[in-house]
Amino acid sequence: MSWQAIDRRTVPESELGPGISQAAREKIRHFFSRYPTKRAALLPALHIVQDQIGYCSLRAMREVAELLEIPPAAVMDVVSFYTMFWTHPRGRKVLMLCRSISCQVMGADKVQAAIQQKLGIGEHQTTPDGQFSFVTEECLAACDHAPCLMVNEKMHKRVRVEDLDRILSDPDSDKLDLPRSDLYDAPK
Amino acid sequence: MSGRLTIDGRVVEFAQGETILDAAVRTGVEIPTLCKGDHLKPEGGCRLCMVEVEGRRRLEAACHTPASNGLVVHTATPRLQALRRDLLALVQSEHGPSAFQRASDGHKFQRLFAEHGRPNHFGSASEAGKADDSHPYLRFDAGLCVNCRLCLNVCEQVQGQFVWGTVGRGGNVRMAYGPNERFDDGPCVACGACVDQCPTGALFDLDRATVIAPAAKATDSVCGYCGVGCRVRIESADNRVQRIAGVPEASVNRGHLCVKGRYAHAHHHSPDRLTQPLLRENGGWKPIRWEEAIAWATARLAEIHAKHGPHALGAMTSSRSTNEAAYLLQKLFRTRFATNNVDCCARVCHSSTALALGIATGTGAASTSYDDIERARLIVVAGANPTEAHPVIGARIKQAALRGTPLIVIDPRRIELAEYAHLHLALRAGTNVQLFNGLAKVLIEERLFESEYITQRCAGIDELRGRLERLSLDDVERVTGVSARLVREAARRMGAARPCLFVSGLGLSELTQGTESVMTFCNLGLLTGSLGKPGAGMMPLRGQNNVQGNADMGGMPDRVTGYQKLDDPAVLERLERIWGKRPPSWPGKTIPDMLDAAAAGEIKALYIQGEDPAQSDPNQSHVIQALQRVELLIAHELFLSETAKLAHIVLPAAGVFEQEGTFTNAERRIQLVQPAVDPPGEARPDWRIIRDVAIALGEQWNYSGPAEIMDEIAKAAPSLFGGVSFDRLAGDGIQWPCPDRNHPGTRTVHGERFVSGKGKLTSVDYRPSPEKVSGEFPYLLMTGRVLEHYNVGTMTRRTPNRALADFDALEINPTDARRERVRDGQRIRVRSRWGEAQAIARLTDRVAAGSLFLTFHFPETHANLVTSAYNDPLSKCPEYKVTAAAIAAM
Repeated sequence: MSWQAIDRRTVPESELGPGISQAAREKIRHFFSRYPTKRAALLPALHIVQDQIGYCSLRAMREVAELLEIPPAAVMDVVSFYTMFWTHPRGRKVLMLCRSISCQVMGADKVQAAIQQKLGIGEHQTTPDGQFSFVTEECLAACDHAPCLMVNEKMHKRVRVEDLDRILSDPDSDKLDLPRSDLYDAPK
Repeated sequence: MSGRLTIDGRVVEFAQGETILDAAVRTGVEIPTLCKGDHLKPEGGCRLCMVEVEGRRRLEAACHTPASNGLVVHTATPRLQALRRDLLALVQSEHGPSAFQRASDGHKFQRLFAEHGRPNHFGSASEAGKADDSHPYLRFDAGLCVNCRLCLNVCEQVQGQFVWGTVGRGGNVRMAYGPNERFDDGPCVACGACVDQCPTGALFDLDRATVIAPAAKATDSVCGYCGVGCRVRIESADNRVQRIAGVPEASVNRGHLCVKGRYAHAHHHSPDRLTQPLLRENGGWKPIRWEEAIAWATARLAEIHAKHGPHALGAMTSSRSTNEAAYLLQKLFRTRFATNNVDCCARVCHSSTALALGIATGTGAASTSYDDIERARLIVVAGANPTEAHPVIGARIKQAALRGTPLIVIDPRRIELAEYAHLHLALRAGTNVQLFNGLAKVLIEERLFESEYITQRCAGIDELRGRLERLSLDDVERVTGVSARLVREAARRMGAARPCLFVSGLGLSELTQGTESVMTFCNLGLLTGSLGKPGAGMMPLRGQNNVQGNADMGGMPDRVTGYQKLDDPAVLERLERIWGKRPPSWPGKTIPDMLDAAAAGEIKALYIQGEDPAQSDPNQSHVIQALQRVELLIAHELFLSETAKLAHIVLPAAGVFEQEGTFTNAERRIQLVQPAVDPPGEARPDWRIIRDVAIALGEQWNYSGPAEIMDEIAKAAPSLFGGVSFDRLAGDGIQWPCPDRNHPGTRTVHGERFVSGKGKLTSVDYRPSPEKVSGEFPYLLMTGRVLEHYNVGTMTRRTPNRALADFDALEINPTDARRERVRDGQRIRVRSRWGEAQAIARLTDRVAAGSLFLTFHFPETHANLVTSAYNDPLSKCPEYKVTAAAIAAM
């Protein structure tokens, strides 16, 4: 396509980050038959990328664009719209704390201060050992369980400051029974 | 629906499909807009064009509300004015306080704000960061961007490049050019269309970013790069080109340009431009005065002519200069020196096309106009890569394909257009005749051809049918590598859609079977009944800005001005009446023959006007040998090119923006070229140099200027140019044939009947090229161009285009690269039976395994040391497109 015809390769290899694996490509291709256009498979494709790499690297975004035959700018468009897509490496576990009104009323501010103090990082930062990143989210849609905190895929409800040590030390605090991208069950 | 509506009390007619805004613009009522561009679909984002419609409670956006009968529209009520004030103030509040002071005045947003806005009462955002100036030509200052999306829309709807996207959401949305958000890394082809659209100056040309004074002068002329012939508006001040823009109303380009036409103009002011005549002396160059130079050159020419006769002289007219210059040079050699040894560089590009179409239809030029691209029912692109070599036409074809016009690409490489094609027939280089015969066979056998057209207007169908009966599609598949199924499908699509538009390039003509490639391609045009119909016909894309005109003017050894035959006594008589001397009737030598004769010592003097055969012609070592052997080599040049370095005297010529005259483009359109700046130093226009040489040789040439020369051309070849005169060429010029002053010019040739009477179908078999792959030379090498550079690069290498592409790349398939242990970006040696070149490897699956593709823009590459000495026996066009080669990493 026209946007592939010009390839100046001005970005050094080292800044492109990792690319997507053959297995991930296969998985993305499985989605093509489910939609009228390849472009429509962009969201599941980006979830697959994040599952594999941990974030949407520059190289991966270009590769997804190529695979879906859409301009790289269209990939960036979607990546930048959704806060769950990351364009730079993140910690192994991402803590997402709800900052909407119900959670605030129920003590989210205190939880936030405690997390930042325990990990020594601010918002959108990652601990030096690469274990944790921290962000706040507009709403996690679970007001009845406020304040709530997601660790990667898993939701923790009615979180109190004293729960944090357990959540931070539990190796399985982020595990769902199956990864989110598998929820889009591609036809076999 | 069409009808009438009332806008601000005026009754306005509207046509089917028009919006309220369209109707208002046509009437001269100005409705402010920020996000609507000419020829672009409405975006409907800025809301400035809101109007009141009587009987409707809410306001309507004029840009996308269809006009309908009886509407009563008000465009400037107090309610609307208040709305516009607030909208503009809100837009401004999103930017830093000094944002719009940074942009130069005269941008649309600043103008609208002055007219409709009011002091911003919403506060303002903090100052934005630094602008992105990573690209050599384009700068993006996000602090000035108002998210109107015009850049995105023009990029998609005109250029078809899809560079732009938006990032973020809500109030944080901003324009971006992809994941890396750096201009120089994006897919941008620097056509510059977004700069023309940008209403605030957020997008700006870097080439004029430092220019403080506004342009003092705007001159309309024609681009000096490829044969598309885009009309340009040259803004200049202090005798320097400041900026080049497309002429919005131009028929050829509708305001659009490419990176070469718009930006690559710095060579005009390059410090190594030639400013004085140079005489070779003691191995060096001695600058001399014009009078001396003319006297020296004419004395040597006259001496060689007197001593060795007319056969010892030859001339190459320039496809880069004007019609008037080419006409004068061939006239000089045909009259004063009584020789037809006159040729031009069309010999080494489209001579096969001109000859083939001439034989098949009676005229060697395109039968079509560019407007046929938008009317076509199916487009076939064969052996041409227009998105790189003819970018404005490439963009128009791409847009047609995006709109759904079926596209069939026939090319060994997966060129950009192949990605948009319904079918890509990736044939082996040089096997065109076999493939076209296969397609013709299916058209005939399945009775998909236009039988009435063939029986009434064409000859040769029985012979062709008979010959193609002996050909099997399995043979076609074996030779071309294109599956029989694909051949059949392509033919069926052509047959079903007929008539079709057939676009071709040098991939057909630069072969030992070049002429026959074009003839068999033209068979497809005839069988589908395409020639002479709107939206259909043959469209060869010409290479240089005036290669069409150069051949038209008689820059060829066997035909004189207007393709008139030299053995026609009526023609010779007419020319004798006008020229005072009768040109000889024996045919002269072609460029390859002249070079052979020079190498053999038979041609003693060569006059080369603005051409660089030492770099551009194949089998380079032989060419250089020939040029070194002649006793006199005269060159007109802008720079000391590889050829000029071998000359005895170099005459400094004026560049494309420094002279007056005409260029003729690939759709036979003669357009006016006007000077925007003065030539540097003592450089002179080619026509004047040739006139002065003729006068010094004793000829009574009193031309006062190009207009007078054109009047003579009209008399010399009345059937094509009889009605052409400078006073009729303003605007879009005239498409020949134009036989008299009342004739409007010709959009479509062969309308009622073929120029030659009957169209001729050609029956010919495929013959393999003498260049064959072997154990020692296992690859087939093709040569060609990239977007950023023009041919031998004399002009583009002296511009910031170098920052976009700084070397010749050899494209190689990754499978072959693995076997040869070649890495991407590695310097490699390319060898053939003829010589050796060096280039940088570029691994890509755009070339098939077993094929290589090399560009020839940089002299240090010596691409033409590798190409063969073979040429088409009919046209003498060299075989640049097939050379057996080997590669090795360095």
